[in-house]
Amino acid sequence: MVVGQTDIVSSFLPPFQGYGILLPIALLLIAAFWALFANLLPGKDRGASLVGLACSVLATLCYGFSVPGALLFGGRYFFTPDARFAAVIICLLAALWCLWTFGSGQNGGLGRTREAVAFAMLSAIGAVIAVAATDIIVIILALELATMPSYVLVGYRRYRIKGLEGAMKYFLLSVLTTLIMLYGASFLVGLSASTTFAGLASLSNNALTLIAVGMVVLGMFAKMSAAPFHWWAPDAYEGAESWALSFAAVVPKVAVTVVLARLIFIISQPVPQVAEMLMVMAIFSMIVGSFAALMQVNIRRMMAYSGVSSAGFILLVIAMMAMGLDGSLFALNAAILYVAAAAFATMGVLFISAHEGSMVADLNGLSERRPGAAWALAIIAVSMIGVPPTLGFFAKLNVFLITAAAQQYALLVFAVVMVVVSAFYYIRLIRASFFGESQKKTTVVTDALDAEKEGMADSQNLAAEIEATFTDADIEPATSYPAKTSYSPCAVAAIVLIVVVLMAAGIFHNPIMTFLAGS
Amino acid sequence: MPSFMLSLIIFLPLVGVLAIALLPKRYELYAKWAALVITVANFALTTWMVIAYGRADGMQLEQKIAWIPQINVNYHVGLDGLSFPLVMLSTFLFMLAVVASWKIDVKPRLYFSMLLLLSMGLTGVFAALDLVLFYVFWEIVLVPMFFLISQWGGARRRYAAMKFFLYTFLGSVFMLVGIVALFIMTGSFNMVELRELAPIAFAGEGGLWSLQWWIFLAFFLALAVKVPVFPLHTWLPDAHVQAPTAASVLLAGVMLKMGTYAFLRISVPILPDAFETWQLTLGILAVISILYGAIVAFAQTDIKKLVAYSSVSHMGFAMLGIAAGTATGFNAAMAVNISHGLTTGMLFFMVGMIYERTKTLRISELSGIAAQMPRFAGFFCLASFASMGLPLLSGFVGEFLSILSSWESPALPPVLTILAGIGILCGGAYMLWLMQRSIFGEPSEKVAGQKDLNLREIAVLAPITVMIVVIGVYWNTILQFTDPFATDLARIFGA
Repeated sequence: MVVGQTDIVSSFLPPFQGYGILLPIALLLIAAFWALFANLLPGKDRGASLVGLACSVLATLCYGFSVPGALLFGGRYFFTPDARFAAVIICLLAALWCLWTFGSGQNGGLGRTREAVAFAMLSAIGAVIAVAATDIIVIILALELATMPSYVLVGYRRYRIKGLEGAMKYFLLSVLTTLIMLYGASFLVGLSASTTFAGLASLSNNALTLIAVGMVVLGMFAKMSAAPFHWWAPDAYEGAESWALSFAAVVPKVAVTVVLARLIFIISQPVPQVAEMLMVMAIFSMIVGSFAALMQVNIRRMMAYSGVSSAGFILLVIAMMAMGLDGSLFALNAAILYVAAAAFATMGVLFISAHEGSMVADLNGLSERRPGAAWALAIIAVSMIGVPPTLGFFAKLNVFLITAAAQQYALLVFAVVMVVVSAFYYIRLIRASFFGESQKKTTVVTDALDAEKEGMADSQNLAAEIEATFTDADIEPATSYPAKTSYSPCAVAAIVLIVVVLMAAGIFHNPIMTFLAGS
Repeated sequence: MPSFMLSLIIFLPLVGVLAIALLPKRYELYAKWAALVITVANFALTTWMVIAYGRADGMQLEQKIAWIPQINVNYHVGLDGLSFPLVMLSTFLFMLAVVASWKIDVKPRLYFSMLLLLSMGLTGVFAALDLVLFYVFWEIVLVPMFFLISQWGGARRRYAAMKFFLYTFLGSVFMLVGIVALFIMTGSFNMVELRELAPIAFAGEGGLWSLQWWIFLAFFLALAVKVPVFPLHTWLPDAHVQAPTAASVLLAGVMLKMGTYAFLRISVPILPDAFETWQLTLGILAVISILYGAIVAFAQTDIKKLVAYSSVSHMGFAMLGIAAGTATGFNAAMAVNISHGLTTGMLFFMVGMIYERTKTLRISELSGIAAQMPRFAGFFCLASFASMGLPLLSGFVGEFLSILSSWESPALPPVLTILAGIGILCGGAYMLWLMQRSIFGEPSEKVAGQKDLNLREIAVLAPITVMIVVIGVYWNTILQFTDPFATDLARIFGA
């Protein structure tokens, strides 16, 4: 058992030795139970958010100051540096989300949020267990714990038909793919006579193994919404409310990405064919995600496809790792860094969407109305495009470096072209918030006419056009609740923190990389 | 402390941005003072630095700090004979651009902070010696320019800003591919080291379809968009015409130089074998740019568009010098860079001044300026003569050397020189015709009754005029910096 001598958490709890690393899970569990019984406890909904915030911050600190390397439960839980990084990211995201709901819940205009907090905490527990688990059964259970609450979060307001529809689609597809994953896992367990990663590493390479591995990763593809298993995502996202989605769309994806990367890291040695499978999925996801997002007028649908495209980039890195690259650990870290960059940015966009409305056109005139929000959105969008010096740039740089190191220059050029395509839709967010006239203003007609002549109608006209062409005219614009409400100080703090994370993690990238590599 | 100096010059504008951000809204008009103080200080620092350390033998003021050691990325800056004049030009024009923007009263805080951010990005591009750092600054430049065009531009500013951003971003990401491929081949992002490492890694293979050739293409796509070289120039007229005056000046005066600078800093020295394969193509594209820019400039009825297309033509001479691949050619490219920065910058300033008065850019509505505004006409004629390449003014240095180098270059056929010569004639012709139509004749309705240049405007134009004349008379002002670099670079090609 490898236990660091200076493990702060363990030093507080000497009898537990390396098991002290499970303390943050206990903290999150306390928060979850507090939230479940929040009605009887002081503070009600906001109290639940506050406890959730406090526990997530503590959990972040516990993970942040822990020393990686603990191998627990007979090799079923390996707390590697990348798992530590992922756990910190998950707890940080949970903390940001609790901070936002603390400001907006109950009297802040959002209404009842206590169960949402409880579900979010349970989901975070599943996620932090999954990222460090090295046992296929534990992984499946933990991933289910991470995703189950997000079905509920998607359909959180039971009187909203669209939300329920989205939740139902998400639930059915997710359960189906989980069953396929379980079925594949049962073969793997049978073939390797073990449930741990150590057993998987000693699998023999035959057709049955390949099919079984294919089934297991298929389940994960569906959960991380890689094409062509992404169909649930746009509908589920559109139906959900932005604030609930800002957790449900982010944390389970971080967990499943890290798990997939760790699993492929082990399993690509006995089954190298998995690399080709991943590469095909990567190309497919990048194409579907980037091009479909171009057509979206709803921010959440756009973010759903942006997630598909991110999944493509992540799968590209994982595929390169599976090809047996020299620096495959660097590739594993790059995948985790990429999902972290995407997670913070997605959460930020959805927070702003929770205040401003669901449609891209709702952002029109944001720079006049709320310049701070417009700038935050601009920085987040710039990070998603991959413009330096943001975290998003370094995440993409790593992807390119790894693809080039694997000598896949054609794929590299392809990925770069997809980055440019994605720039077109992210910049629409900036376009709407800085150039879009808000509905009240009807001046500056010549402007719009001129622009239209050049085929670049202002985003409102564009939105109307695309809506008429690509969606049913009957669909009522899904306005999120509460639309265009003011930002509470906590919401401002949460968004500012996201922007700071994206900028600082880019400019001071070395500490992040060092922490991720665990050296 | 000299190494610290350069970083100070790069990041000083950031202090200005911070100061402006903290300015309360009711004092927002003081933003220009903050910007002025910062840009003047920056120019003074640069001048002092050039006087104290401006030696052309090797890198000066080098500073290297590990940034992301995991992938061997460093914060590495330094200046040599290639970058000294460009940093100088950049800080000089930024100072004047702030003065010229004195009347901006729509969101002044945002405007001046964007100007300062742009200044940081551009100085950073010229100082960076690490490819990732270089790319970071290269992309940072896009963001403030995007906002400058989109918020303070002309009627079609949104279209122009989107086109500018996406067009240049598309080019830039290909450069990132090139940077990544170079790193994979050599394990280094260091521009100075790569001059030795890359030729070894590629073992002299630079023929058609070789890896080095592809990497050169990747860089070419990014740089040719910036310069701009003929088929990739279409963003330029839109962006230049729609941008506010100061942004047009900085686009033409400094940003276009990023392209030619990067050719001389990266493509040519690091990928010399591929460059030899590319030389003829570059030469042909340069000559097409020269002629195309000149001919299209003839047809313009809008004075700002005319100046914009003349930029395409002039930058063609810089590309022709680079394509020649000789010491004279590299000197020519640098001389064109500086001279074009000054003359076109001045012309854009003056176009802005005339627009402020008459609210029109149509040449047909601008006749008789000389009778009404003699001082303006004087400066305008001088800038036009410099732009045409009249001897004793700065434009002549670059165009003469460029023609000379393309003639003596073994890689370029003489017909290109002849065509480029025709380009110079055309340049003279459209500028003279512009002067005939706008400066001379009876004052038109719009020009009549307008006031001549005020003291602030003269303060913007006079320093540029002095520089144009000084460089034109005493070529060594620029060549003393660029010549050692150019000679050293030409040694690779055995010339």
